[in-house]
Amino acid sequence: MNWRLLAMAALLPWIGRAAWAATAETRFSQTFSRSGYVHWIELYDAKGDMIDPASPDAAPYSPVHTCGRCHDYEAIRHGYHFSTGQASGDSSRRGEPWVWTDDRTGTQIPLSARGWPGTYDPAGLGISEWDLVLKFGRHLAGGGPGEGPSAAAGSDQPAAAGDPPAAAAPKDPQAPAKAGEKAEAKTPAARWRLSGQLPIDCMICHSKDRSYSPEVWSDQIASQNFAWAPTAALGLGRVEGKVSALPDDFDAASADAKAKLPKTTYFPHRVSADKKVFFDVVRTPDDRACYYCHTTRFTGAEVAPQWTHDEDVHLRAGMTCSDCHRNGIEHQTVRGFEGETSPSGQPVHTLSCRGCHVDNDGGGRLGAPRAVHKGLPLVHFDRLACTACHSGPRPGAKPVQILTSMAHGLGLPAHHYGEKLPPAMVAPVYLQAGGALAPHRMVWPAFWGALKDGKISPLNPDKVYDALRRTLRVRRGSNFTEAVSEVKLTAADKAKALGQERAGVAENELTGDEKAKLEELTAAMAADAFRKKLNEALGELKKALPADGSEPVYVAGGRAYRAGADGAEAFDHGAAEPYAWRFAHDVRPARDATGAASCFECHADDSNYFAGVVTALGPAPDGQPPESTMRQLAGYDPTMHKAWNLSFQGRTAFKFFGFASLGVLALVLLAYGALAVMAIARFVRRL
Amino acid sequence: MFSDICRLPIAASSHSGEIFRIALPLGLLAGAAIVLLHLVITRFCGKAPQRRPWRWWEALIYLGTLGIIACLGFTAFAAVLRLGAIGGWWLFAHMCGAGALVAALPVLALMWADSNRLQIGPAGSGPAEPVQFLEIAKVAYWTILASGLVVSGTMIVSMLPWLGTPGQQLMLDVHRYAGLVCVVAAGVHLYGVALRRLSS
Repeated sequence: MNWRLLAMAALLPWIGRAAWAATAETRFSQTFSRSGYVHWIELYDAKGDMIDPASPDAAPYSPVHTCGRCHDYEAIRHGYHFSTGQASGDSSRRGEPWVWTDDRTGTQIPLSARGWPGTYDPAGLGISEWDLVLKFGRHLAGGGPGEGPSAAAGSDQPAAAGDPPAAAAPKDPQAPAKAGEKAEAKTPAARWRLSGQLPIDCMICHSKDRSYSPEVWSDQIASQNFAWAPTAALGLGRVEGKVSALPDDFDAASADAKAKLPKTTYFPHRVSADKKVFFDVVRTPDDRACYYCHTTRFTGAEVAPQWTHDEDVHLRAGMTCSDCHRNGIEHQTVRGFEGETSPSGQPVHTLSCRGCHVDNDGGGRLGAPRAVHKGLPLVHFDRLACTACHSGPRPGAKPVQILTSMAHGLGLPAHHYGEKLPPAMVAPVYLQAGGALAPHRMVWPAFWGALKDGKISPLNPDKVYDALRRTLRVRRGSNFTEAVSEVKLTAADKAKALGQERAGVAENELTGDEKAKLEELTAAMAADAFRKKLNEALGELKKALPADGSEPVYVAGGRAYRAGADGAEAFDHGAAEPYAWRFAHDVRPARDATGAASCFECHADDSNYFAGVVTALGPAPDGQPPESTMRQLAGYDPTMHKAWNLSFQGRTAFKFFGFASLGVLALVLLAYGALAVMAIARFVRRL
Repeated sequence: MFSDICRLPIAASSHSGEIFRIALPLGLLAGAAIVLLHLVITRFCGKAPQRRPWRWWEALIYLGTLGIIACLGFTAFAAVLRLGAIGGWWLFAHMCGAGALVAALPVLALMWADSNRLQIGPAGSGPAEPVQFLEIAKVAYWTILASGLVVSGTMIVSMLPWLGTPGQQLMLDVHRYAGLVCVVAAGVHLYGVALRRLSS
């Protein structure tokens, strides 16, 4: 009898674990079918209450409570795409940062809370989650900063589950204000209370029928209708009203509050008789969803039209982004670089270029062809990343300017897309990363900061604007660069450049040389005007700095500037160094890879891969901006490069000479080998 | 057990660089052991035949080739042992030396082949006239030529668009070991020449 009791006691923990595991497995509904589940589902609001779409007071649907009924939102919210702006600990490899731009103050600060060297933590600059959402919400998938201040404080619990986003915020922060509720104080928390949270919108990626509108999503965020954005963007209903139109001290308890708060009207044709809505869900997102945030476009006069560019070879082969950039329910999307360790704990090596196309263990996924690389010396595999030859466009004499979705808002209709749209970014720039050459994109930080103990710390952009707007006087429709470099050539200036006789000639009658002279003079005067205006602004900024020995500085275009006796002085500082991050797409096929046609694409003194000149770009007018060759930026020894290139000059002749030499050697060996055989035969015969 | 043994070459091929780093000092030690063993044996053997004096161009070619092999061995082995792989200026110097070796080897072959013909027959039946090299040096000479052919051939073939990555890897592995054999043979040959000069 006792042994049975003992056995039961011993088994109890196992039974408990099994029961717990069973509970964990059944917490979220699953079909485990590859056919996928047809999502005719009820809608739930931010408080978790079921929505009656026909009700005139219907709340906007909440993905947290609607999708989260069957899918583990708590696991998803820690995913890579939703940790933007929050310390996620992913400092594994630098990626594209969010670049905070302000045209009025000449600001472009690379931001990231991931700890990437060269970026700044938004929290450290006093940039709140509210600011981040308003600035970048257009290309955020929700979550992260959209969950409000409580999430940034490090709470493990999703703010959407009911925690207040700020100390002052009551009840459920995700829920937008309703008529009849008292307004909070004039704090960001009060605005969060009105806007509701911006939850992760699953449908921004998982919508299959392409009816999801990122433009509507962006508009709703700009209107501060955070909680309404998923409903409007998916086209489930119409949202009227804007939280942004409401004052900070808006009293939701007032009689007319209901009329002023945004109102949701669900479209009857989207709702079934049993009050369910069809969500056309796809498990792995379509490429177009990825491209909304991850498009890069080359810009500038020297760039060939878009239709002449080829698509990524993988997409042409029928693959999708998510074939390689995969994730499980925890949404830790694989980035696909060599040496990556996935937080999921799963090995992801075979989802990298080398793992899939070169290595023996587990490669060849989805029919990936094995890389042949005929005649390519093995040393290239140690010194070059796969992307060095296979990714992006071939470099020109200078890298071209690029626009990206995240930095420039591509994907939204606008008229201002062009090379003057800040922040100025360039690509491809070839730099060494981990000992291997790889193509990078590059941006130069520009900001106003405080120099103390040799370290430059950026100042909050809004505070800088408040301090300098009277000094800089940037008019509406203009920008910082134009405002600080505005010059008008007087008759005396023209006479100095062109001579008294030609100074009075109309501009359209000037020769090309004369026009060039005037342009040169204008640029020189603009640079002078900039230094003087900058000096004035730095003097003004000093008043806003604490009296702790901090010196006001401006960083832009690869230089740092400080106040001087006769205009601002430029000096070198690490804070002005460009921020660069590797890229891998679009991938070119083997025949179009660099070096496939000739070794001299790289092994020549004038090869753009090394001789290409990278010029610092930024809002500061600079007649002689810092320039470096890619060889310098990559840190290669120029003498060694020259020596190698020289050795390639006689390479073909050496091959012929080598074969001739080997032929002679082989003949000698054969001849004496034959003599040896004959001698042995004679010796054997004599025995 | 058998399948494990069969898999060994496959496992080795994917770590050939690491394996060579282990094999390299062992190979050099083996060369030293051959020299030592020969030295012990010759102490108890009869006197060496009379030495034929060298002509100046023979000495020049010999010392030149030996210097090239030493330079190639140093640039390769020092880089492998110190840095794990050859690259940068080490590789450049190795490449320059390789060009010189390709030029020197056929000259060495044409000039010295006849005086390095091995004596086949019972002991004491060899020629009474003076000879230039001891038997061990002759063996080393033919080893230098054979391994030199492989060392040069593998790299020249690698420069042509014939072989893919696995083929290139095979060529590199063969090059490494043939290079090690060549360096050891050159050392043994130098020993043979030195011994000959000291003992006559």
